[in-house]
Amino acid sequence: MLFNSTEFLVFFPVVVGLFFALPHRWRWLLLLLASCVFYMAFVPVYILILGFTIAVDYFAGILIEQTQGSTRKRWLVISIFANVGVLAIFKYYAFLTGNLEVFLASVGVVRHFPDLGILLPIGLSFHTFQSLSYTIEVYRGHVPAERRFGIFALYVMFFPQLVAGPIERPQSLLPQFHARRPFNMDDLTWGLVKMAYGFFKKVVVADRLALFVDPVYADLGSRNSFTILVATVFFAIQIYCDFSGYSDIAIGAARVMGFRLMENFRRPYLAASVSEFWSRWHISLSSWFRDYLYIPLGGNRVLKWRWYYNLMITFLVSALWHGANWTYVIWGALHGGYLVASIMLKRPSLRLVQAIGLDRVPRIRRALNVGFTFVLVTLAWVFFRATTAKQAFTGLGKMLHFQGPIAFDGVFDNVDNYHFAACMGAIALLVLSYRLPLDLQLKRPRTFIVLTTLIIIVLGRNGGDFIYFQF
Amino acid sequence: MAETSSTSSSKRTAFRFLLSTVVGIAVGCLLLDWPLTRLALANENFGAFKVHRMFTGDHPGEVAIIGSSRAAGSYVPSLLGDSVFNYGIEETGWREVRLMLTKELSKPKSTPVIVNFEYSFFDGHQPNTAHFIPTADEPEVRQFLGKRMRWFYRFPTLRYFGSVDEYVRVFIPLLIRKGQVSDNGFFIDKGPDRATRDKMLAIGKSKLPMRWRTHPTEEKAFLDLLGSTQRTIVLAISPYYPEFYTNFGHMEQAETWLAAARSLPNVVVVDLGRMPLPETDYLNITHVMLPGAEAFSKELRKELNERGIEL
Repeated sequence: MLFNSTEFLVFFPVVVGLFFALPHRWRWLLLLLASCVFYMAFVPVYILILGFTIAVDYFAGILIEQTQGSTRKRWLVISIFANVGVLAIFKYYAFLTGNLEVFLASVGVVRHFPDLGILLPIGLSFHTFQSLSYTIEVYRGHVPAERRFGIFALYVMFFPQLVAGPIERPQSLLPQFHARRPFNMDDLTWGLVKMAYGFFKKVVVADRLALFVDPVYADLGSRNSFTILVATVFFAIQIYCDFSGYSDIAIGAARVMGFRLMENFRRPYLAASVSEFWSRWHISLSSWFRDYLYIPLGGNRVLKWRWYYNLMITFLVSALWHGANWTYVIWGALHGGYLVASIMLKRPSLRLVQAIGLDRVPRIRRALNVGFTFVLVTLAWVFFRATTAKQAFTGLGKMLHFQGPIAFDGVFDNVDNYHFAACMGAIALLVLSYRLPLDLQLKRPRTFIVLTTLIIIVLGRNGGDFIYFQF
Repeated sequence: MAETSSTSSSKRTAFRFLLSTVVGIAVGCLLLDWPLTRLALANENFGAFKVHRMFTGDHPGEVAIIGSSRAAGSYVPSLLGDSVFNYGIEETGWREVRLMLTKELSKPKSTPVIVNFEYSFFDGHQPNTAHFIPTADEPEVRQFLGKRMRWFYRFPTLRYFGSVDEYVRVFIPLLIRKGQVSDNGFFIDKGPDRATRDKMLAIGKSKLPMRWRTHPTEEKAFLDLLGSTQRTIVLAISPYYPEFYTNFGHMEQAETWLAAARSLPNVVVVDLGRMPLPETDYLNITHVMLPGAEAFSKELRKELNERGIEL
């Protein structure tokens, strides 16, 4: 079920109403049933996959807790294999076999692997990682194994964050399902305000920008440099509003019922370095990879070459988490490369800053860093958005070897300028919303919700899916 | 987002908060509906205005021209008669024409009706719902929209969700009065530059050849509609770029349908599709420029006068 659908408009108030009407002991069941309905609105049969990983991780958690030594580790490995196995079959099979066929063909072996013809279950990477974090945390002894199967199933399936996060940790979310949650007016207003702002980002900004970006990226080969450049900047803003909008709605929806989910975005395009960007962008995934991959690999407390290796591995795995496509691999490699380069060039860049006197004007220095970081991140987005690596290189090449007029090239049959102006208007609204005093949002939540809803109705587009659903 | 200090946690307070929020949104929607409707109907060239005009008045004595963008950009009302209105709507096909013609024929009038004939008339086509939202209260319009009729089209302001763009986009040229000629529903750009026109012609040519696709049910239903009235219906064919005809496939089937229409006692077919026009009078393969529209309108008036039809 999409958040931006009529069904959710009915579903959510009904679930919230029932949640507060029911006594505490039945609420978990209501939320679990609601989560099943929410998930089954996409492809009903895929709930069996969820059921499989939930069952494996539930028993693995208990067995990890009850056993010692190598047996304990074996259960963790079984859990990891089960989760990664599901991902491998549903997400990476076609990618792996396709590349293997190409490789075998290059050494003279013709081999065709069967096409399983399966659709990627929605939000698979999200709930798999959330489930994995549970068994890892139980193994580490940070949380006790959950004994109630229904509560554990709810931890994996909690509908606000089931299909696109934030990816929660068991320490944070599991105790909330056990605790009594009396109705709280602050939670209700805070949650509704957050949801309204999320819908604004998605429906008013992201879906508007998609109108411009989609046709340009559908045919990068025949677009001019200026059009691709504008579309790429628009995509940077679109993906931020699309995904952070989803996170806001998820966090807000959970909060209305009193549940607190982690913040997933903290104005990432105001980051002054790529490293800072990753502490502000998709925080729940970045921290997942930090805690379960980067630090176990040794983090930065190792030799320098090993540190670089750890960074590159972490970003390449993160890239593959997003999708089974070489475009994502290049995107991840670029980000890993940015971080390695920033470490290697730290001293020379500091000397340069001192030489030109930028260290005496920290505000200007930060502004320049923010701009430079935005350029780096936006260039990498070309690979994230393009459908093939060849298309991405074509688009990137056209931007870097800028040619042609500073004018659009007929993407929309003579209404390019209108669409461009409308997109700029949407971005202006987003910037304006950044400047809104918190008072308006929280001391006058009613006014904020009413105004935002009216803006959404009048200026919104009906754009459909969220980008991150495909992961 | 920082959290506020604790407020009352009672459900009664929450109910009051939610109720007042919903009332606030409802009042906002009621207040915004009027300016949005004005915006949708501000431009007489826009489909929303034309559909609304067709459904909200009889306009006795008026001669209606019904058709697609080819009609909207080819028939100059002031050159055709004193009381002619061009109801040609962009992005329309047979279904929209049937809706408009049915409504026009239901009016207590005796004036002729001009329908612009298209060779792609009966091909599949999805209506642009933005044209019909301000008139969605009319039962015929609701029936016409069918599955595309959304529940929120009946609520003030909410009905315009996702469609406001369509109205703004046609309103802005009107506001800045940029390069458009309009005349009782007829509208046309004064003229894009030569390069744009060449590009549009090239795009059109690249889509050739076109062909008549048989749609027996639709074809018969339309003939039945044409023959269901005593009023004179002029089935006119506005000019196509010559290459259209040299590449058009299954013309004999189109001619068969036109012959069936011609055999109806109240139908007059005026075929000016091959009317000779200079190359520069074409905007693209199916549309003419202003001089082409003027020449066609004068010729049509002459043809109709010769057949004793005064507009």
